[in-house]
Amino acid sequence: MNKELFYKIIFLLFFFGGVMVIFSIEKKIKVQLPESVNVVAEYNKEDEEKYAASIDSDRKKIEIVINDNKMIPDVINVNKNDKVSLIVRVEEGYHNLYLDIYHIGTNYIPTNKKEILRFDATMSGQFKFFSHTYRYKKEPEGKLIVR
Amino acid sequence: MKKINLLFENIRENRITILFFVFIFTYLIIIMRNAFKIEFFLDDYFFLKVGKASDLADFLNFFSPYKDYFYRPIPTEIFYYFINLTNRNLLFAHSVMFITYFIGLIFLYKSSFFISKNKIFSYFLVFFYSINFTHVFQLYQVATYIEICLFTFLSIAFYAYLKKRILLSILFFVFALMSKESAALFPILIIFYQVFFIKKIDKSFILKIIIFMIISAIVVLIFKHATSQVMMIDTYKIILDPKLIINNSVWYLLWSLGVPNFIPNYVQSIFFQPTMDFWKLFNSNDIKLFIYSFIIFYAVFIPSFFITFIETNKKIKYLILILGLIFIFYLFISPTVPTIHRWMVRLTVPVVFTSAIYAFVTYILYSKEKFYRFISFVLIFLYFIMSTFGIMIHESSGLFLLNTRTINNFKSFIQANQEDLAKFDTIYFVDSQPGDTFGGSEELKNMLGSEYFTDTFFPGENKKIIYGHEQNMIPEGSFVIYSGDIY
Repeated sequence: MNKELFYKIIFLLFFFGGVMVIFSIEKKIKVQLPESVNVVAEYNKEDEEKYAASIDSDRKKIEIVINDNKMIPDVINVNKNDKVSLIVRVEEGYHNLYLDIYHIGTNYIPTNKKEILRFDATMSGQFKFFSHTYRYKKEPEGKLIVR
Repeated sequence: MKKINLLFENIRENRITILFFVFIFTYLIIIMRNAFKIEFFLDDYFFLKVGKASDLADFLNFFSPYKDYFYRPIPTEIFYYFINLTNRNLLFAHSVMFITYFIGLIFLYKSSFFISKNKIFSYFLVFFYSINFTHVFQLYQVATYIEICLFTFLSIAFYAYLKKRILLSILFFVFALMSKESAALFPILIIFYQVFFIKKIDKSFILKIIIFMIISAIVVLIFKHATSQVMMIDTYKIILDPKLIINNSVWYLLWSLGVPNFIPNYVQSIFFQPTMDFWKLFNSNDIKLFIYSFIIFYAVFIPSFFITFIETNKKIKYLILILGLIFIFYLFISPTVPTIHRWMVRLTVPVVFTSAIYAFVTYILYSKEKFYRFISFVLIFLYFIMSTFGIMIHESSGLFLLNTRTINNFKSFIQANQEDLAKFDTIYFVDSQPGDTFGGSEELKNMLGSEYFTDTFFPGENKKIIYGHEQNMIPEGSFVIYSGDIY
């Protein structure tokens, strides 16, 4: 057999071997990964914005305005199992917003900027949310009521 | 006028080389554009603190070996001295890192061209080396400028040696030694070159090599003295355990061949199945595409390697060259193999030699008939795809953007509480929840370089810093920062 032809066959065999490995991985992934598993965390601002736009479409949107003394509104009512997007806008000062029950919060937000805090209201009850501006002063706070 | 004409003639003659480098540099700047906004963190705060000099005596003191940390004055004290002069400008710091790396690449090309007398091979070598994803770490984190300096100074020293400009070579060799102690292995690289390529060992060579070795010995002694304290730290301690040495050696080689840095977390041993979490990685499209391009690249590279070997008339020489390159790879990685601390950043210089293997095989294919040349282009294309995704996934796995976000949150927090913070002498970082690991005070301690961040964030103040995971009691009169407020 022609040497070059032999080498071409070798290359093809290896190449298809590689493709077969990929197919077997794909098969294995389908078995190992049910659809609900978490996506590997990768921080990318553009992706995050696109992702935010796609997931906020079916969420209950509530806007909270924070200034140095209070939160408006300071009582939020949602139903159990609601998917909520809290749009936190800072009118005055430098604030974040913490939701104690879920151990989640926004970053520090400067004046006239906003950030979205998303959560699923899986527990019913009354929960506190507050701003961590400075712990030795009175912090603006509010109440989340899940019915 | 004559000089200008000569310059234009030179540019005309080397236009392909110039275009090649313009392509490589542009590609690297575009794909690694996020590097320019990576904040200072970890060791940076320590180096920012020690990289200060108010007069010439302070500046000269940077070179003093009487320190209780690694003796690497050029990429640490001196580099950070200039960063301090620019008011800790990130763009300046990262631009210097990229420019130094680019200079190193140019000298790598020049050295390769000098030895091989072949431009195409040299292009391949620089291409395979420059876009290798292992460089993400040293180009993103300012503190790892150590590795870039080592690579660039050694490249210049080697090129100067090839051009028989020994004094210049010695000068840059000393600079390399002042960047990282593993430069002390450079004389062995020269011996390898002399034996394999020049094949002549005369008196003049022996004299030169003795000079290089004496300089190495002096710096190793200084380093040994300077690091006696650092070596006490468990992760840097030399442990002559064969299992650890073999394990590290295997992982460093696998990393240099394209295995991602996070794989050891999921695959405990190459003889066992990966953990269940390994399959979750495939949820990320970038990781999936990287692994698939890696598989296809090697499905083409492995037969290429064997076919080029079978086809060559100089099998012994071929084999010796490949084994020699692997030997030098291990030579440069050897000082860190017997330590627990395993880090991809240490591959900066060793990857030159694994890239030379890729370049060698690809060049042999390229120089043959049509079909083989086609395969060489396939290899280049697949490597380009693999490296592009490799850079993207290591940017994520290195957590550089996440760390930057945390530091920026911390800056905002301090800005918001500036007046109140000024009233307290002690800052206490408390875990948001007891026992927090990620996002807790322990993580913050690493991120902020223990207490060294105070010099950057509270210049001139003498603040005491306490981390909650180390001390449960909050001292009276402390300003308490909840770790969760920063993350």
